[in-house]
Order: sequence, then C-alpha cells, then structure tokens
Amino acid sequence: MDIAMILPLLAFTDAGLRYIGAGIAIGVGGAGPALAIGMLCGKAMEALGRNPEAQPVIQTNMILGIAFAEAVAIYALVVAVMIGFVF
Amino acid sequence: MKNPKTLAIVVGALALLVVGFLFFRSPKPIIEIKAETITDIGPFPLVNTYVTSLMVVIVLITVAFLATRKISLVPKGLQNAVEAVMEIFYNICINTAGEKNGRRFFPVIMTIFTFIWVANWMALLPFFNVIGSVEKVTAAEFHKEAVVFGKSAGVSFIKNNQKALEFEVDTSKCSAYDPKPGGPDLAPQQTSCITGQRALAMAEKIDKKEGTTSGIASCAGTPGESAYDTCLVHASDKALEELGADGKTLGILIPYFRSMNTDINSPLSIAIMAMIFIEFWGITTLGVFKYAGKFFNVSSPIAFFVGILEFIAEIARIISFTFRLFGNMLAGEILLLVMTFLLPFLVALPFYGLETFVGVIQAFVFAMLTLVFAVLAVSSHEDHGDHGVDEPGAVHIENIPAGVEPAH
Repeated sequence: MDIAMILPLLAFTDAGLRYIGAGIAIGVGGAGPALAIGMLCGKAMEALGRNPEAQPVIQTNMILGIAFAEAVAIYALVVAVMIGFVF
Repeated sequence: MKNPKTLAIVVGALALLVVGFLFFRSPKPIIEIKAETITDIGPFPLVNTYVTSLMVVIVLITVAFLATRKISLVPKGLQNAVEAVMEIFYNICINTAGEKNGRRFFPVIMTIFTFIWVANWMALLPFFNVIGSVEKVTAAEFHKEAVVFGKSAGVSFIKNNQKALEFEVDTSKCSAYDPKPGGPDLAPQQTSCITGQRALAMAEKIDKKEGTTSGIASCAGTPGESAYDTCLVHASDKALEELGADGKTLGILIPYFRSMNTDINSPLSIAIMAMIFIEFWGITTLGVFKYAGKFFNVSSPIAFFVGILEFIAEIARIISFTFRLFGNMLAGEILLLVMTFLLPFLVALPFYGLETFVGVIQAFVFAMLTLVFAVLAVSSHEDHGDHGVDEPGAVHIENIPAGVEPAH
C-alpha cells in the first residue's frame, strides 16, 4: 500500500484519542488493584489454612482490604468514564 | 445429553438467546452521570435519584414499624429477621470499639448500612431506569447538537415503545473540506456538511423504520453544498413532523427511578454526614484541644508535618468514601446495561447475582470504615504508644531484648 494512501487514514481525531485515553486509564488503573486483590485473597487463604477457626475475622478483614484495593480501580473507572462520556 | 431435562433446559436457553438477539434488542445504553431532572419544584429540580431515596426511606420506616408493632421477647418472623441483622452489627461494633463506644456508634453505623443496602438492592428492581417520560428533542436542537452527539457515545433516541433509533453519520464524505477532521474549529462548510449528513441518516432511518415519506431522494447535489444540506435538513424535519402527527414521540428517556448511589450527590452527602459524626465523637471523647492536637502539633517539625498529613488524610476520606460507593454502583449499572445490550435475557442474569453481592458488600464496607475511622478518632496518640511521632532514633531502644547489643 502506498504511504500517501495510508496517511489520510492516520488522522488522530479528538474522539479517537479520547477513547484511547479512557482505555489506558482503566487498563493500567485496573492492573494494580488486580494484583493487590490477588495477593490479599492468597494471603487470606494461607491464613485460613493455618488457622481455620479464625475464619470470620479473616473474612471480614479480607473483604475490607479488597474494598480498599478495589477503590483504586473504581477511581480509574470513574476517570475513564469521565474521559469517555463527559468531557 | 443423557438427561432429557438438561437437554430441554439447554435448548430453551439457546432459543431464548436467539429470539432475544433477533427480536428484543435493547436500546444502546446512554451513560448519563448527572441525575436526570424529572420536574422543577420552585427553584429546586426534582431529580430521579431523590425520588428513589425517598422510596428507600419509606421502605425502611415501613419495615421498622411492622417489625416493632408486636414486639415479643422470643422474636418471630420479621422481628426475628431484623433483630438478626442488628445483632450482627451490634456485635461487630462492640468487638471493634468496646462496650461504651460501641453502643454510641451503633445507631449511626446501622443507619448507614441499612440505608445504602436497601438503596442498592432496590436499584435491581425491574422498573428502575425504564419507566419515565420522553423528553422531546426539537429538530432545531437536534441539528445544532448533532455534531457533538456524533462524537460522543452516540445518543439513543428512544421512542415510547422502547426501541432505539440511532443515526450513524457518514462524515467521510465531509473530510475533503477540512484537512484535519475533528480539529478544534470546523470550517462553516464542514459543519453544514456534517449536519446535512446527520439529517440524511436520520431521515433514511425514520423512513425505513416508520414508513414516513420525507422525500430525501428528491434532494440533488454533493455534500458540503449549502443548498443540498438545507434540503436534507428540511427532509428530516418533515420526517420528524410526520412521526409526531402519528402520536409517536422521538426523544430521550428521562427515567422516574434511578439507583440512588449512581448520583454522586447521595454518596457525598452520606460521607459528609459520616465524617461529621466521626469528628463529633472525636471531639466529645478527647476534648477540643486534645483532638485538634492530633492535626496541629507544634512540638517538633516532624510532628507538625505528620499532623498536616493526618489532616489531609481526614479530608481525603470524604472523597474516597464518595467515589468508592459512587463508582461501584455506577459500574454495576453500566455493566448490567451493557450486558443487556449485547445479548438480552440470560447473559445479564449472573451479573444480577454479582450486583446483589456488591450492593450488600459496599454497604457493609461503608459502615465498617465509618466504624474504624470513628475508633481511630476517639483514640488519642498516647493510647497506642510509639507512632513515629516521638523523637526518631530513640524509639526502639527499649524494645531490644537484653543481651543483644546493637552492632554499631
């Protein structure tokens, strides 16, 4: 394909860049919390294996921790939604 | 498939999916972050999330009334259920904050939990987001905002029978008039061309779906020519008028009910209320000067900066409270809408289960965090020893066991 034919197709429009930005925001913003939640659950399972009687306490604290970690992903989502649909 | 019952269920599910995909496509979801205004009462707009929060209050009052009407020592039925939920939280409060403070905190914590919980579950009822009035969009508004709408998510024009009419604009025909499509300021010629193309798409679609006769075929010319574009706009106006004469409304749906926490104002107000209570408990327990001393401490430079940081963290709690609840609920709503849009009926079902779970978990988290912050607020620094605010370097000497000498 001739380069002169491709160039007009490569226009970076406002809308296109915005969607790329929104995608990056939620994609990168979701990676950290995903790792955090994985680690939290893994450690909680280890703790449960060692000490099954402590299940209610571990579960409550695990859910609280997950909510904290998840909040970061939610901030990223709010930012992505704002980029995509508000501004 | 040995079991005929399993076979029947699988075939039925597949048939439901196919039929749903072919005949019951839902409109493309519009993501509206701002709560829609139903009507204006004097100077105040009545928004749909407020209607929902009033419904939540009514439900809670009714349940409380019914549960305590005939109170008995050995609880039965509704009283038993309400007492069970209360008891779980009461025990958590007592275990976390101690007997005296736990009893003080419990009413607020429980109120926050039940209010958010009922609001989140109520949002899953089927009449949410679908019953509403249709806000008419005039042809003039339509053509004026056409360019903006074309760029964003693509607005769904929903008729009163809930079927979407969407208009895809063919802007490629207009690109020849501007070297940079989508640039900050469009040439007047280009604006006219985009409006014309939008009118063309609209008239064609309404003609096809509703059988109107707009007469777009009689317009002759090339895109960008002002006479041609005006002709197209006139044609689409005619189609809209004909549609109105048939008693059909074309416009945007304003639902009467919308999940309370998808409007940022309600999580924000709950968060502010929670923080006011936390500060109140802190001040009444420690006294004004001791409590303020947590944030403004001039005994050493490090203590001063730690105090400033704690103050910022205190304010940031409001923001994190708000966005955690708001974001979770908005994400759930978008998830359900998108799943229903992709494949009607069965695909959204597991996500309803997820949203039921998320609804109660978020209410629990909000209440628990309020409790934890309240406990932090009523405990003074002296209570929990070395917190890093003492003189650095001298902190851990006494923790070193006897007989172990530091290496240096």
